[in-house]
Amino acid sequence: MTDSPKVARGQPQACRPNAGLAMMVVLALAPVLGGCALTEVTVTESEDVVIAEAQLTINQHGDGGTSLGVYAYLHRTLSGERPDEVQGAIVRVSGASAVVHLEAADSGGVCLAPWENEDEEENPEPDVGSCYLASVAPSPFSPGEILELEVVLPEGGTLTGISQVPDAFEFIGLTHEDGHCRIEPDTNYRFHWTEAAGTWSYISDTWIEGLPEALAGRDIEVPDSLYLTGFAIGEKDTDILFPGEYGLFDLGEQADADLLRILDDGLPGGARGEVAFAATDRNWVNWARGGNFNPSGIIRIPSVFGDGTGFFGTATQRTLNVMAAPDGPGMPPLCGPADAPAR
Amino acid sequence: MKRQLLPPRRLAVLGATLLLLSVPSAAAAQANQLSGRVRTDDGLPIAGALAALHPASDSTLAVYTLSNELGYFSFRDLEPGSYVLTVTRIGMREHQEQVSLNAAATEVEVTMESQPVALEGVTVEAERSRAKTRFEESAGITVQEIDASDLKSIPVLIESDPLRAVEVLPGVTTVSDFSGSYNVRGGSADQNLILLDEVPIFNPFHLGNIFSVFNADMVDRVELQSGGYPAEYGGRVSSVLTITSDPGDGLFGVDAGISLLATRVAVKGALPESAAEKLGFTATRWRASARRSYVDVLIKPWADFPYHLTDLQGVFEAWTEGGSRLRFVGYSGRDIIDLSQITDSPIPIRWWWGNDAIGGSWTHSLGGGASMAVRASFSRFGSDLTFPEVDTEFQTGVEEATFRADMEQRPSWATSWKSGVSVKRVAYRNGLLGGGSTFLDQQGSGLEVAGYSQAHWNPSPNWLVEGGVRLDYWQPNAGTTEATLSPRFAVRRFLRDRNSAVRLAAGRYSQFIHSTRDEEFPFGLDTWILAGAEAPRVVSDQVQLGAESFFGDDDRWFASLEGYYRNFDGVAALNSAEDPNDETDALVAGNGNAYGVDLFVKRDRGNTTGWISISFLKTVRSFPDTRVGVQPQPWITYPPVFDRRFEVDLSLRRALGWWGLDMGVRANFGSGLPYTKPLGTYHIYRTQFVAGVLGVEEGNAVVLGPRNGARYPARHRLDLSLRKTATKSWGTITPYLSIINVYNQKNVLFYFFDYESSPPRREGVSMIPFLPTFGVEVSF
Repeated sequence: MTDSPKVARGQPQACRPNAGLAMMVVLALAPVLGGCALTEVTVTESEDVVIAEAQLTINQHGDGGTSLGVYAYLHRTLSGERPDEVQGAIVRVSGASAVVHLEAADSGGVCLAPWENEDEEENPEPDVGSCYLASVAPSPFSPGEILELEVVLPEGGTLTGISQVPDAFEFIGLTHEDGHCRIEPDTNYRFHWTEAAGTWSYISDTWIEGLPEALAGRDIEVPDSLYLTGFAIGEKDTDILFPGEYGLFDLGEQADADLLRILDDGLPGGARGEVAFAATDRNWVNWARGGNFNPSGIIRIPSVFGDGTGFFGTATQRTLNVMAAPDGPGMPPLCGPADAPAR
Repeated sequence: MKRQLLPPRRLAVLGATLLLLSVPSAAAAQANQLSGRVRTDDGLPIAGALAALHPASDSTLAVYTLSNELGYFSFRDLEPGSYVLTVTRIGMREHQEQVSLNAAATEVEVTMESQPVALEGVTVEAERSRAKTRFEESAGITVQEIDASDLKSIPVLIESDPLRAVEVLPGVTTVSDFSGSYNVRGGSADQNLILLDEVPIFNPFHLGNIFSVFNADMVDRVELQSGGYPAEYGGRVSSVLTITSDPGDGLFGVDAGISLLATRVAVKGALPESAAEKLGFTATRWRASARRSYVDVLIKPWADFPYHLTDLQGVFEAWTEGGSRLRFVGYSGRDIIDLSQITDSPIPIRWWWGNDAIGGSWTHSLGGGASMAVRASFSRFGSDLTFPEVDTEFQTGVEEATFRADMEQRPSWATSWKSGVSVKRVAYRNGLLGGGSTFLDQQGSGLEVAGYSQAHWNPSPNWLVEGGVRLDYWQPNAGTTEATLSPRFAVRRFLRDRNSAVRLAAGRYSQFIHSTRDEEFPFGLDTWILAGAEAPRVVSDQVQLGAESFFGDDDRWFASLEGYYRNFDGVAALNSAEDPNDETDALVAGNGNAYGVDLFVKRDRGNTTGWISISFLKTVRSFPDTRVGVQPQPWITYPPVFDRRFEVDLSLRRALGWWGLDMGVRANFGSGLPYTKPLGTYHIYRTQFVAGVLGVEEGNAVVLGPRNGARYPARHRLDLSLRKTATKSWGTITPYLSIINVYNQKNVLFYFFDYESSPPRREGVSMIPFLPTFGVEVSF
């Protein structure tokens, strides 16, 4: 057990005091600024800029093996006229002793999660970009290796990015069977793992299933499946409470406060989820957090440069399946002793 | 890195050496010199009295000087003979006497009687005298002054504001009407030292930087030193702004006012004579003020208004029989926003911020024009923003305690020498707490020991040379101890019977504190961080060359033209790609430079007075591109948001011939400031590791073009103020009207680029539109 004071239920870099103060002042001055609107001017058009979102993950399996998953999602700045796609690009990732070429694939369901929206009129499915991917087992790249991304665009031009893959990590004190373990209903379990050098943030996410049945009879709205994210900051912050420290930045999207409050006390009996733990590099974190203030919108810090922008993030990853159930025949082993609820 | 401690012995030696250098010599009182002290008939030293001396045989050969803060004045390099000494001071009866000088030094005691006057522009005389004396007695410093009278006539938002008034001075740039924060000659806003008397105020603004914390009724004058300052000044590299409090004349009086922002009252007076005598004072005077916004109180019966501000400010001055002066100043102010108690508040927050400052000084005359001063001060700033619903809190604070001793002597007729030491302890803390956890915990402290010695030499009536050196020794609690040796040099060549001059000044300046406020965002509070493990020190080498002249009848016109170059090594900017594994990289260190020319023409006598300033500036900043993860990181160079290449400010004051109205005019034109233009927007996706896909998020992000690669349109604005002072049996009443942006020019504050609409649009927010405000002031 560690006694780290940090929690993993937040995205720390997005919450700098300055950003918060700036936002507060904007809100406070909104009435004043409201009287100062400038006359609208029509802009000729937005520039056509390619955004390359490339992600490479070295998956560490329980048997000691590895596999590589890498995909690049190429899209463009928005325009009512041009397509979002970037077809015909050449995408490759190079390491010290190997080069992996990414192949074009259908975007929907491969690079992108299936689009789910109840109100298609108000919130139509966005244009879809182009997906390039590769899967290799065992991984030709190693944790700690420096990799280079190169994207050659069909219309000419090149985008490049560099990343150093974070080191591998191991769970500490975890009992599981083929990647499955169990916690007692309505309890939390604190995962611990070894430090992975070069990690800027450990990101853990999960799709929790079975909540409607587990919470039947409670007067709250429960989705069929719930996506939650938790964070641990920096390479030394190597623990997270499941599920109590997940979901702060998911509040309002799928989960309401009442549901998250229940999960603070533990995973209800019968609920289950696949949980991923990723040690992510600097590029991943920089892309996720905001940059300098700009009144036109969110700024992201790129790590792909050249004839476009984007990021090239790398991670090492482990995945587990956790369920909340009492002991019984056929049940996987207890992950470990329960921890106190998150408060 | 091993921490280097300043050995106490070395500190003691440093201090003792500098003070020994300053011990007045036995020859302090020199031959060929007339010195004197000016006091009121009840013993109060009179500062700023104009002393004129001319041979009895020729009144056209007059020389002038001003009495210092202890009432002392001196003339040097005099031929033996008979002279006429005339001492004048507004509000006092003129003093004139014959003085016979021989080979020995001569000292006189001048006693002046009060002579109440009610003249328009009485302060103009004193200000002009200060300007002329500074012209004649300082070689390199660039100082602009705004006195209390001009301060109230400059049209500003809602009520007179000493910091807002600085905007009209040459070399000063502001990036927004909504912020009183300013930049001087290409320096960052955090490179300006703002002093209330001699106490630093870290964040002197109310309401998101819109108004300053200083009550104009408490202000005697505002002085901006924008360059060339001698070795006694340290701590900031760009400018020193001194707000000098007015302790009054010792007579009871009240100044009060109400504006659309706040009500305020300032009371002046003196201690009862018996109390003063018991304390050993020959004279005392004080002034205290309070200010509070009132909208929350006014509408309380009907609604809750969640904001108010308060200011308390005071100054006390006392004089001893021996001519020593004691002076104390204090300030405390708060802004409080509380939306947490308001039903259905969309942002239920509690937020307070404010400054507390106190300082005291003892100034003692040592005879022969020598003096020593001992000062101590404490100043702090704090802010706490709480989101009760999500259990999140932002905190920031900085504090500084200073002890300083200075000694000035005049070892010969042609030289004066000033030395001093100061010890300063500074500490800061910035925190982000959420859900019982600490996301950010920056804190640190540092000890600054500084010593300086500077000499002032008149090799001939046409030359003035100043030289000095300053040593700043900075010892942070974490990081490397730094010692900065800063030479300063200035030379002035007088022309046209000392009515014109050309001058050259050069020096090194250092700074050990930074603000982490994002300068791209023109609102908000400064959060401070000290040089050390987390931030570099700033070292700036500066040179300026100028010419200036008094001309016209009775020197009613003054003009100066000055060019300058500055470099800044160790400027800091927020590191947007900071490594969570590195607690020391919140800021990124870079460098920059600035060069420009300032023209200033002023008329301070006549029915219309005022000035025009024209400034040319070019400044850039260079920083490592921390977005790039490989070493060495490339550097990017860009103009900072305050790079206003050309600016004209016109400030006029005229007594109108009808209704006794006094009119103030301010006109401003400035070329466009840089901004970073978005090139387009794109969908935001978020990685789902567990599924190995990207999920679509709400909202879009923007792709930016080159940093600060575009510019807003030029800005221009005309402001007017009208004041009418009516004299009543009980005192005076002055209603005023101030109109900001008379012709409603839509100067751009921000552009918003909306690339989601078809066709794409550029919208925006302007700065302050046409805005009349009014208020009333009374005095009795």
